[in-house]
Amino acid sequence: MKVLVVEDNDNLARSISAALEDTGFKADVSRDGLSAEHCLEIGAYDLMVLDLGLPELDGISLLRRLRQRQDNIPVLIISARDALDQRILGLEEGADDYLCKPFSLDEVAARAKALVRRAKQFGGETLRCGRLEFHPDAMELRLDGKPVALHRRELEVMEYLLINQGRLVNKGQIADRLSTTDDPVSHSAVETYVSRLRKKLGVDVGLKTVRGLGYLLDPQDAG
Amino acid sequence: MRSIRARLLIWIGLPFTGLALVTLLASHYLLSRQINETFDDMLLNAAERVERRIHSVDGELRINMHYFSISTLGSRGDGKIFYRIQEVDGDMLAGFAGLQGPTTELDQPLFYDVDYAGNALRAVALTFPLTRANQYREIEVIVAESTEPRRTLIAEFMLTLSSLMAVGGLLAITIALVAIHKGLAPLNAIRRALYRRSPNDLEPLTGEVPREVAPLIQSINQLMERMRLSIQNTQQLNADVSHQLRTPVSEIRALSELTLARSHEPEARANLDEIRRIAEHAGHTVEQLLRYAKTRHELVDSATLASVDLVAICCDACSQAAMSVYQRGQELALEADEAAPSLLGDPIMLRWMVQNLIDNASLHAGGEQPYRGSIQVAVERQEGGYRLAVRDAGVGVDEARLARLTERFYRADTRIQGSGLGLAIAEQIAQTHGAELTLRNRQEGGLEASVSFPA
Repeated sequence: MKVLVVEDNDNLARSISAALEDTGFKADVSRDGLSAEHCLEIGAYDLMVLDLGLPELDGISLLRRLRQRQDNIPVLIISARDALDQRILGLEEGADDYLCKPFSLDEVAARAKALVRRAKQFGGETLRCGRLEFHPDAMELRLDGKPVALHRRELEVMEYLLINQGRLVNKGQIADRLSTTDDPVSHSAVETYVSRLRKKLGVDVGLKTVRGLGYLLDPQDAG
Repeated sequence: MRSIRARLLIWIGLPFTGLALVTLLASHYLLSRQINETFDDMLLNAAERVERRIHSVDGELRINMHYFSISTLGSRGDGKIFYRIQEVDGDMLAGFAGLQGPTTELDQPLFYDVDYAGNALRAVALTFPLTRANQYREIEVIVAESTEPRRTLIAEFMLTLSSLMAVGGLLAITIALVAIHKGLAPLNAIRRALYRRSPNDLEPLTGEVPREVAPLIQSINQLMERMRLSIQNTQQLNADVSHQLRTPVSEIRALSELTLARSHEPEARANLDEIRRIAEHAGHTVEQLLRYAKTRHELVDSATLASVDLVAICCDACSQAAMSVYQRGQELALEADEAAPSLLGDPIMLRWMVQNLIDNASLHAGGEQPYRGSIQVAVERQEGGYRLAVRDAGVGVDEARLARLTERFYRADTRIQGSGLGLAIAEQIAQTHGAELTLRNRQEGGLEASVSFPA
């Protein structure tokens, strides 16, 4: 996986790229907007970490140009500017996630991974969370390496939870993901799938119910 | 300083009372003189009529007093009449010999006061020549009347006059009080308007005011504008400083984290971990300071407020907080009224507020121990609006400290890391939205932070 870190502060650029390389990315660094644009044109990147305050071409303009030419590369924005106006602006211009300075490197790595995972959610990569392992091509869930017999709907729910691990997922999002125009899925159906999933797995895999909100698959509590 | 009402009352009341007294005195003087003159005239008239009652019988003077009477204005028959008729330097003809005469020679009628038989009398003495049967005599007549009727009359007049003036005075005072009240009404309205304001409301006073009060209002508004600008400058400085600190704090934090991951030397690792912790805390404080500066009521442009869905905001805030809440071994739940109220507000600020309340519960609910219970976020309908509540089932807070929790940099427990701004920001955001943040210990244990939004 290749990531482009666009950051004009040397210390931050170095730290971020090192942390991402520790997570399994191969990182390149650009110091300004124009060279970043150049890099994106030649290299195939899976992710861009973008600082908004850049010399030459600022982050928002770069992002706007990218989206205008239909480049859908996942973008994680890092900014010293505050949420009140900038966050909305960034997300409106097509950023996928947003982190405010000061941040932790772990947070950057976790968000970066999640973005790539979500971008490739139809891509067939194996998803892992603690004792769970999901193979999308085979549509197979393994617990401690042993396949678990699950209904197709339950597998789809599990896949979505794994893609979004560490994030709160509400029932509506799962229902949307599962529904087709011919076969709509209700919120109560989602509840049924999740409770069956729990029963069939038999052990605590870190799947929490957040009352009134949805579900959270906690990778750090996944056994 | 005396109140305006008292001043007006004194300045209206005292001169009018004085004026009334002077009027009464003057009336008494004029009335007494008028009445006395009238009575005196009648007394003289009576005395003069005596002449016609004297006739001589065989050279002897006789007096026919049958028809002698004095008709007075106020005597109503109870006035006592005394008279004495005698020849000048001669014999007594009729009447009361003891009635004292004038001491001087008379060439015209003389009025004087005299006492007789325990009565205070007003007397008139006159002399006239009498020619009867070719005899020429000089007769002196004294007629005296008790002064009581005239005194009674004066007293009655004065009583009536005083009563009239008293009624008039009371009426005048009532009118003055009403006038003062009406006149001061605009001032009272301004006082009430200022009293009702929240301490953070520095908006100018508006509305119609009388011309006399307008300069005062203008001064108050100018003062408030100066205060607003001053606060704005301070907050802007605060925001700028926080902003400038963000990148260096990020660098320190990132480098310490990076080096920590690479280093294997125990002492260096321990120190780096400490640096990382401090940088994290500094970063959090910088962030909260910036939020504190930006959510000040004075800095919020009401034009940026939009209709927002409170429940959706709670969902967002919960989603953001969920991961860290569950990682601390706590649970999170949202209880929302389905008919989600929409209110005028700033969505990002409101989300900060809910996040801060959740963070506060998550970090402090257990007191000295880490909290392991659940945190409930609720949106409930209540009388006159909606209520957002964040509840925990922890140890609660000492009642004496409750009120201080929203103070800047006040921390109930200094062992737990925090910026000391979380609840101050939450309160500020609530105020910016015309809502009120209330902290209270729950009966079943734990703390409840609730924000009441007006309908």
